[in-house]
Amino acid sequence: MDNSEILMTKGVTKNFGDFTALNDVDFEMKDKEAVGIIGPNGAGKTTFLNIITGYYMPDKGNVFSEGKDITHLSPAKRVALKIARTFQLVHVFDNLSVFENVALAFFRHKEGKSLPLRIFSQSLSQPLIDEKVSEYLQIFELDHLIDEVVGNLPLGSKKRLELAMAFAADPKVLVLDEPFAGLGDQEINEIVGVLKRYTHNKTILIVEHKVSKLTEFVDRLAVMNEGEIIAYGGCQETLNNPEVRRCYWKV
Amino acid sequence: MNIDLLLPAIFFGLSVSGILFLVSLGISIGFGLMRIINMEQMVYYTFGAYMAYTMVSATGSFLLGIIAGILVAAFLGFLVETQLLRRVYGKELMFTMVVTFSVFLIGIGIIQYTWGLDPKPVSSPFHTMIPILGVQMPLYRLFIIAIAFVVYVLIQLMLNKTIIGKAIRAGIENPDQVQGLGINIRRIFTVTFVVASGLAGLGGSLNAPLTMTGPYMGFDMLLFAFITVILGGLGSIKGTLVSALIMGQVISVGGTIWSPLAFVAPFIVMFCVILWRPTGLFGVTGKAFGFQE
Amino acid sequence: MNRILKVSYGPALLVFLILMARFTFPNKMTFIIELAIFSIYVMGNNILYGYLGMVSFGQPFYLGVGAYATAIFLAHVGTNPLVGMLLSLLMGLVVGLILGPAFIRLRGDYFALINAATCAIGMFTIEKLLLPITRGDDGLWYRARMSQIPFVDIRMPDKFFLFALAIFLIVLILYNFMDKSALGSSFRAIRVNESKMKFLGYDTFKIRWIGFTLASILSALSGSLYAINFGFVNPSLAEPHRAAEVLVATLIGGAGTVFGPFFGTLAFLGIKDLVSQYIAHWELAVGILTLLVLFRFSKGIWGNTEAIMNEKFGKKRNRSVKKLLTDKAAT
Ligand SMILES: Nc1ncnc2c1ncn2[C@@H]1O[C@H](COP(=O)(O)OP(=O)(O)O)[C@@H](O)[C@H]1O
Ligand SMILES: [Mg+2]
Repeated sequence: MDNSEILMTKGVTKNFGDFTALNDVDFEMKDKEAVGIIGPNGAGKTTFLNIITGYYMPDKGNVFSEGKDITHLSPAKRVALKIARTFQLVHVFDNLSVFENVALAFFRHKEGKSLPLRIFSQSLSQPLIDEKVSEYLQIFELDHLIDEVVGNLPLGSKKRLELAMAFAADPKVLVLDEPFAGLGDQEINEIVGVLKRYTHNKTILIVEHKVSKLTEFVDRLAVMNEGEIIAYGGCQETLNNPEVRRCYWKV
Repeated sequence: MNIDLLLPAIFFGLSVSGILFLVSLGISIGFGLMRIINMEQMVYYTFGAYMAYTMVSATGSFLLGIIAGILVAAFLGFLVETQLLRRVYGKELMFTMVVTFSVFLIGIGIIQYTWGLDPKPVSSPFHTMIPILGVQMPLYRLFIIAIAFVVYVLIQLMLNKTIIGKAIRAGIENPDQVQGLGINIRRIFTVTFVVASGLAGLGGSLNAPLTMTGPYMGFDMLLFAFITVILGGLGSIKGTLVSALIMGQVISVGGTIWSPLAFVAPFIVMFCVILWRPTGLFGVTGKAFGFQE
Repeated sequence: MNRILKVSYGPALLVFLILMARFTFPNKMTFIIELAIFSIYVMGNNILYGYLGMVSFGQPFYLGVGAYATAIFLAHVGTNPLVGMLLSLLMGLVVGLILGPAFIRLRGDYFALINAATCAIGMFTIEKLLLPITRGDDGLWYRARMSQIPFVDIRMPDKFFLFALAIFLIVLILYNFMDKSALGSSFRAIRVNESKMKFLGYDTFKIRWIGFTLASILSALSGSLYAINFGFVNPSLAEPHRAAEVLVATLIGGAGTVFGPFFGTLAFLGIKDLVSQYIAHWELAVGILTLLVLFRFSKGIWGNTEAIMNEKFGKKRNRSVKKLLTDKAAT
């Protein structure tokens, strides 16, 4: 097996009852590559990310990272392998401050294997954490909100916060589920700007509907439909694929 | 244990089952239909018992006691549902649990205030013994078994034959759909709740001659009722009946073997069921009431 | 060291105020002793309910474990109350570690109820099965057997008061330390979104296990102090019925705060004390108060006080980060 594949799935199948959400999906991406996944609603994109990040176990098939079979690893263990994600429906801690949200993400990365002991003894406000968290807050323009309780923030800020948390874990692989959904053009462009900066610096797997934004920075594009990847390749090539035009653009 | 004791214990257990069935229904349906944990059901039960006491001492008629027990309990249920519970539908399960528990405490307080702390004895309306299979059984216990059975049949008829009953069933199976159908879900909730609390009141008044009627009588019953409901699977009426039948025997036969078992055996059952079969025997609403993921 | 100091100011001030109260109202000493002891019990439950959002209807069991560990030791084995206390802490740890994994994987409602069952079964074991050791309902008496410990003779009520208060102070400082540590934040985060915590790489099962065990230890410590204070223990201390008390106190004081348990206990015991002087039952008053807190003042006594203070004096959190940010902006 070629070890350079940072993510690979082989024959991944997932059923919900009699409904097959993913059907025999093979997928791979190279280290430091940026790949976009598009597809109609209900195509199985979120389910696919859920399987990659360990939210679900597949019914059949395997998930590999750098040649290692991670199919049965818990989500937390996959984070230890430096795979971080965001959710389509924003997942943040509403009762904590913006600072604490990002600090928790960074703290996990910082402590690594010594976490079990240091979680008792360490506080989240210490120089190194302050330094790093303020960096990520600035990148996502959240620095003025540092003390706000997250529950009171608008969706746009929460989405950026979740991205900041994913980046704060300093992952090798970033898995993003519709990070632009529900945002205005201005906000989207800002996030695209950040993602562009990190392209080819981290591996990025992103599910999004806004194809025009994706093509600005992804290397390859995959199209999902009814639980299968129907096309996967360079952006233009994929978008011109006749089957894609039929299923996705309904042409 | 000798067989002469076993048969009476089984009959005895059946009457315990009758009471358990009546008081557990409200909790079971409250979860199945409204997605709340209503610990205050035991207030209605306690009030039912106290109404029996009050009516028997005032008029000497136990029948009046039962009727008053049902009516007062149903009215209290109506008050609590329309004034308070409506505000907690859709909230976190734990929140509903704590809110209804506070109502339970308030109910206990009102009872203490009205009737004092001393237990009130209520004498049984009939003392006749009836021989069954060579065992002398108190008629009163048979009476309870009969009433519980009639209630079960009536509820099944209501659920299967009336429109509101069908709506309730649909609601238990799929709460979102009922609203989609445009049925006034509030009214369904209120009606269901009033019926359930009336039945808890009936259970209380029927149980009054068998236990000591006191302000804290609801506490023991609360835990027993929860065991029944969990064993039966929440939201299942048939399940509640079957588990009430089982729990009645556990309490009664267990108590015959060694009297402290009457109290602790149900908890051992609860402990085992939660750890090993948390969906209950029937597991109808297993997906709603089970493990975290 | 600096951090230890930082988390000590608040608790020290509170304990100072308690000391003042003790000398202002000398006849309230018994009440204040119970206040300190019960607060520790409520602090345990607050980790479960306030920080982690888990309702337990069986906390009296863990209190009972601690009380009986000390009582059995003092009645049958040794005479040193401190050894009894250590034993209780150990029992709290062991019970928490053993029961934790089985219980915390359950969903909220089941967690509440299995604790109730555990309490009923546990107290039954103590009362009936261990009758020869615990003397069942009659209770264990060992006041006369307790020996003196160095420095303070805790067999004297006014000395025990100081001892209990010292323990309370230490516990409160550690509690405040926990609140400000990564563990405290993790607890709060798990409460609202456990799944996200997993996807940040935290083993949430272990964190909740830690919380459960800490709650068990604190309850056991409280039980042990009760046992030493009374010189006598019987099963009524830990009846399953009493599960409501600790929950209610947690809620009223302010769930998930450091000082909430103390103020909740103050309100709860105060009401019990006051009300029972006049009408002999507390359920009505406490029930109404709880509903009020649930619907109007969801942060409880201390939570709301804290919010008002934050409003008045401005939030002082994250000063260091803000300074960093302004420095960066300047360059
Ligand atoms: N937990 C679940 N249980 C049942 N069906 C599910 C579950 N998650 C997703 N599905 C179904 O799987 C299909 C794919 O869903 P999803 O992966 O969310 O699609 P997408 O993200 O592409 O819009 C949908 O039809 C959805 O209804
Ligand atoms: Mg999706």
